[in-house]
Amino acid sequence: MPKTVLIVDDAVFMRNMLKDIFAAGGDFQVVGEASNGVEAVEKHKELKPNLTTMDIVMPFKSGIEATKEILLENPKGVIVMCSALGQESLVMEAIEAGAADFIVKPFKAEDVLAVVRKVLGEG
Amino acid sequence: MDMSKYRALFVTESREHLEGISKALLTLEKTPADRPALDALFRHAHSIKGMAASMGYDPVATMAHKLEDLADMARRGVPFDAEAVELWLEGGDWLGDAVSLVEGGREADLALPTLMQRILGKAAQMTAAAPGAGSTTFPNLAAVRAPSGTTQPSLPVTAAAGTTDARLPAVAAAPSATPTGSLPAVGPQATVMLPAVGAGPGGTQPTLTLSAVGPREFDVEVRISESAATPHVRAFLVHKRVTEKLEVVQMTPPLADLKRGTLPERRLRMRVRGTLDAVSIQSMIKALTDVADCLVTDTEKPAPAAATAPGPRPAPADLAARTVRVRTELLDELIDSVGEILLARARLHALSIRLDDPDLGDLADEFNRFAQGLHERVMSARMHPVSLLTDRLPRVVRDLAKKRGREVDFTVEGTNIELDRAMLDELHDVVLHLVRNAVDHAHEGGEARVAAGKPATMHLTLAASRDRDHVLIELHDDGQGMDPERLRASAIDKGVITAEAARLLSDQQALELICRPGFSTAQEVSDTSGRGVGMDVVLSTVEHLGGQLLIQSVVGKGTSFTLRLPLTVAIIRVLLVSAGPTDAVYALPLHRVESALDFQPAELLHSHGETLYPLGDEIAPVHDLGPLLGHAVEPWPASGTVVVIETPFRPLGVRVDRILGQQEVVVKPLGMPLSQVPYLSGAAVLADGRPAYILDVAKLIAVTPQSAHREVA
Repeated sequence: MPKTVLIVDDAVFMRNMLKDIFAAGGDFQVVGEASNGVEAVEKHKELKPNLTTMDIVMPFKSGIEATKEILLENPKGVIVMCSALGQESLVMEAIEAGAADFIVKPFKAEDVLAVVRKVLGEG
Repeated sequence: MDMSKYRALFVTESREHLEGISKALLTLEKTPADRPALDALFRHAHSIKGMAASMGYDPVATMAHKLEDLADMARRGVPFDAEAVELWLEGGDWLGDAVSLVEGGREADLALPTLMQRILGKAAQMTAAAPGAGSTTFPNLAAVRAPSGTTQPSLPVTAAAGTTDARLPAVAAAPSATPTGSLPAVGPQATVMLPAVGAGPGGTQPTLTLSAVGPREFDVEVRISESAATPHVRAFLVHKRVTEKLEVVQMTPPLADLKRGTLPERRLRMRVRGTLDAVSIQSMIKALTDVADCLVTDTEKPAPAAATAPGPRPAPADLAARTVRVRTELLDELIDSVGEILLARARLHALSIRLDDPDLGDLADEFNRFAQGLHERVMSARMHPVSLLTDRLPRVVRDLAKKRGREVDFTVEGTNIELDRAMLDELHDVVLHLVRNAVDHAHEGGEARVAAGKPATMHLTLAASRDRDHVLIELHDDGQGMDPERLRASAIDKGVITAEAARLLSDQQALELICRPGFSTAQEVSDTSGRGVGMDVVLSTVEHLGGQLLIQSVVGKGTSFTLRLPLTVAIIRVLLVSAGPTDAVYALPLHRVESALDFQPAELLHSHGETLYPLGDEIAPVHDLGPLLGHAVEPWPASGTVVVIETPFRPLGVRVDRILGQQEVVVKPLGMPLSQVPYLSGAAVLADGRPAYILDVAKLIAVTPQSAHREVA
């Protein structure tokens, strides 16, 4: 049974890249996408994915806020932050809020897969 | 979600961040590239942004966000110039005002200032100056995504309906502000800088086993992989995961350092306590991304291969993580409860004596010890370092000195001296006023100073120190000093005092004239020290706190103001007296009582409608407490005691029927309408359970017409 994934990022470029990475991974199924934090919270509630990748700086609601809200509602949610260099403090904030792990942009497919497999207990 | 309950926390924490910003900016003004200061700016702005956004204070979040961008660009190597510092200072001020609006429940009035345009302009300029601007295709932190022709703030700006000025001006005007934003590129090497994963052997999901024994302590050393792009964040994640299963007793580097981005040698050392065994801890940590190695040593077993000898247990380094935030009101309630306990203690003691029961006496003594201990602890919880008061002052001095074109070297000493929180709150305006006064009035101006043979820079020192059960806060300047003769003349001019009275004042008393209401020696009312709080308010605040204000000044040499303050205010010692036909008990704050004399009606003097009495070396007005409090006016009684009360300008005598003794009482604030009575400063429940009003005698006399007195019978 493939793990379901929700991709949250405001850039289509990034979303497509992540979709490709998960497709290549074989054991994942991207079930939804969100382009901002508000959408992310809604989609997470609706789709209850096994895993969510979360961009940090997004319009309307940051990935941090979205992460906090999602985890408040669903503490078992597994969220991996997608950060850029320079967002360390934001990443730590997300970790404090309960994010499972993080990846640093620009990322490579095998690293993304390794991290998400670890947090899903398949490492 | 109801956010209103977070408002107070938002206000408090934002102010802390704003102080942090102030400090960082002072550093940056001197050292524009100071990385820790830039990091601090970024972090504080980010925190305010996060809180404001959570609260829905969008203009605040937007301002913090844009300021954060400026700091972030500076962190990436774009010079942080004087203009950037200035914009930050102004932005910080705006944020301060915004926080005050929020505090006053006026968040609907929040609207972005025009300053925002200048900040955005600066951001665009810094973006253009950024090395490799626009060469990355990744969206990043400072990116302001503004599709051509539209204005889209990166944070929602949902100001009150109709306030269009809360909208962000377009940024896209700057040609370089491409969608890739204002961050410089990560650089070509970044494309291969990737976290390597799976360094740990096995990589199997650890099975966490509970050991049969109770909690044990372990030393854990974790090395983060060389390939991890942000090792300190990795370490932070390790710490977080560990805290989910174990108690972290101590950590090197401390959490605060990790948050600041420090992880020397990519190594994290922790002393942990819990019921897991060493193998489980190790496999749990090794399963985390980018953990290159992990060594776990049981502290209770000899550890032959342990890289770090445990040694004596170090002091908890991450104290910040071990503190909790408590509302000041809660502390007030706590002190109230402790006060009740102290009073019960006194009653218990009295009871044990009355019943003459040795067991009860022992119990009373024990109770006494516990109550004292509790009292001390609660009091210490209310103590805060003076830095709370002084942290923002360097900025105030800097701004004001700049405005006046004067040079001031401002030093703060003894900031770790602690004072009751309630007192610090009240002293804020007082200290601010004194400091501003010094820059405004004590400073002669650079040229005049040089002409007088002094360096152009005025030295201003604020020093806090402990003097037994008092705290001294001294502000000293080497400015022009105050001339008693000029003060006398000025006071006469302003009608504060008659020429005759002025002549009688000693030079020291003349200095004290500046504390009279309506007095100000400033040639002109300046926009800072000339308005709002005056020296009269400074004096009355200090006295209200049970403190004293000492003024020393030498013409041409300088002035110092010394505030002598009790450590705490909530519990005071009072002199209990009785007065009036009902033998009612009143409490006079002991710190205002100078002495007590036997009342001799024959010594009463009458002059110009005032009744005077010899109080030690001086002859000063005397009043009878009973009539003052509205009891029937009768001729002066033949006996009693005159209590000599200190007031700012001369002593006062108050005749009371009897002195009942001294007592430590908890001051309870009065409710309406009694709180409106100016001469009642509070109430207290006495050890025997009777209530007593605490009187402010000076005020009582001020509000009572000089009518109560008449000739001796």
